[in-house]
Amino acid sequence: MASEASLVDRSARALAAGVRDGSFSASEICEALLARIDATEDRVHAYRRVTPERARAQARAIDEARARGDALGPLAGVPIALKDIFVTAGVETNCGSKILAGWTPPYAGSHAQRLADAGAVVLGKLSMDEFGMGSSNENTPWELVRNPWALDYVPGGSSGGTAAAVSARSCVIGLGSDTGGSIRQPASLCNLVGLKPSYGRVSRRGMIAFASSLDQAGPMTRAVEDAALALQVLAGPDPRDSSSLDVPVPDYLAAVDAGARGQLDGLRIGLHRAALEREGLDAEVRRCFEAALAELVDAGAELVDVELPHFDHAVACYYVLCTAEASSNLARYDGVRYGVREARPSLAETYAATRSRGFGAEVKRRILLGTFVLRAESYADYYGRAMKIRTLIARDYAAAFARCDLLASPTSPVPAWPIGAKIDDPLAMYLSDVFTIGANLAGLPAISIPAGFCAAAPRRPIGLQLLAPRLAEPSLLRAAAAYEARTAWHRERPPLIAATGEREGG
Amino acid sequence: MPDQARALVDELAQLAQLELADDEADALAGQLDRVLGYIERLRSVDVAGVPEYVQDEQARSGLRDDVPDVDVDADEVLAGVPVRRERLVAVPRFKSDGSEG
Repeated sequence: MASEASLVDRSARALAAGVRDGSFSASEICEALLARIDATEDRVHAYRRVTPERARAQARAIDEARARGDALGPLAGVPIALKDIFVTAGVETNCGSKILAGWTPPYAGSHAQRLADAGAVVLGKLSMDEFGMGSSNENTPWELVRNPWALDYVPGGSSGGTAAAVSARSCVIGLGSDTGGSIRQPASLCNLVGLKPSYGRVSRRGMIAFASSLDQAGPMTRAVEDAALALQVLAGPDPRDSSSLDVPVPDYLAAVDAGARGQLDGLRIGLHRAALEREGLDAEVRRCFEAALAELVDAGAELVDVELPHFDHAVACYYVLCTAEASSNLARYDGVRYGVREARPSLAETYAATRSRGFGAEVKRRILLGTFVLRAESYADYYGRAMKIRTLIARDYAAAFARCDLLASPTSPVPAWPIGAKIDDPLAMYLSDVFTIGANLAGLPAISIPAGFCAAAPRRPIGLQLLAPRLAEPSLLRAAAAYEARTAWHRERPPLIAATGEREGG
Repeated sequence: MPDQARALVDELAQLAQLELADDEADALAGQLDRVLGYIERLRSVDVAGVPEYVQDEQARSGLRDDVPDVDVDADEVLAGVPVRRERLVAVPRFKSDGSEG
């Protein structure tokens, strides 16, 4: 149907405005997206669980509220989906793991709550790498997620399902989580906007913990304005998360609208050139990045060289800290109080059997590494040392920001790779986080935006990453909006859309 | 496969309450060895006088007012428990020593 085609391509901002002024109903938008899920899921497998009846009920409630003249929230009628790391009351949540198979949360997480209060319609839960550990969405006991741009290629991870759904137009806003790049990297691989807010900007309550000092929730969207809209709803202090920041929430949409004029006069963009010379940076990624820099300069920005002296130690530092925190956080999965239990005659054997059968290989790998670095005899040499290096890395960024307003880099050193190509080399997979982990280590906000495609077939997206000082999301969003206004990458649609649109009868 | 790497994996698996099959433990030993080799580079960084990392803005004190606040239903929580006896979480005995009572 023509109206379905136009609805699924609209931004969340446009849909919300259309619901408010009566141009569309929440129910028709919901049906259009549910039809997209039906049309794409057998090829993409983005969803872990679709909740059509709940979604229809939520949409109906929005339409009834509008008919009564009630005030509508900023996301009223907008179809969204949540990475399965986010706790949803009454809807089974697995966090990508067999160990939580069958677990239905008894409480609503802060993200689901805020989005519901804003009027969003939740279509379902999205597939992910187990416990957030992975860069390709291949660490899953269930169906592999496919990149809508090239179905035999990875969508990125760990928010791979989120990226696949947003780019396949089977949801409008997807919520992901980012510990070492898990929002930004899939966004880069799937031609999307992916935003990781400053640490503490968004509550972590109800986001199943991987590494508590690094994890942040954030949106994946097709337009910068939608990321701003989502952040506006999610940001703010939470009395039940003492790591959430009690600072005012600025007007993110105003920043986007200011940026959309396309001018960046005087903005100083810092460039760490040494990182670009590293082995492993794909030539096409470099080409797109240089072109993106040229576009930013055309818009009035000034490039400034900066140093990040500890950049080459960041991946190692990250993998010591995140695995240490993960080994501690995942100790709670023991088969006793929730999730799966592999019963054995003794408690200790029950723990071991449950965990061994419930966790996948990557999770075990990281638990073992984390256990190693936290052993009493290793602590000072590994974890203690990495915590000091983390301070040095944070200082490097602070020093860089004394000389520039934003930092720019590629998001991922490579575009999407074929499914299975890297799964046997964990270290190679870890090294692909080289550009993204700094923002997590230093608690900085960072965004990935569409910045081109590789020349070789299949045509795969390449993202540009911008980083800002803590709590400078408005600056980040303004620059991202300006770049978006001057380019057309974000308007391209994966070939899958036409392929699945045709099956609908056009 | 160096015995040392495999012995390390066995020790860590026990600490982490993981029970690994032989081939699984061998594979993990090799991978862990490679990753630990990579992490050794952290030793070359001069960290003298550098404090461990804390966020710039320290979190709030984290103390809430002492006011009862129920935000989760006990029955719903219990519904998720794998093995229950009435409102208790049932678990196997701590050790299996063959002399079950």
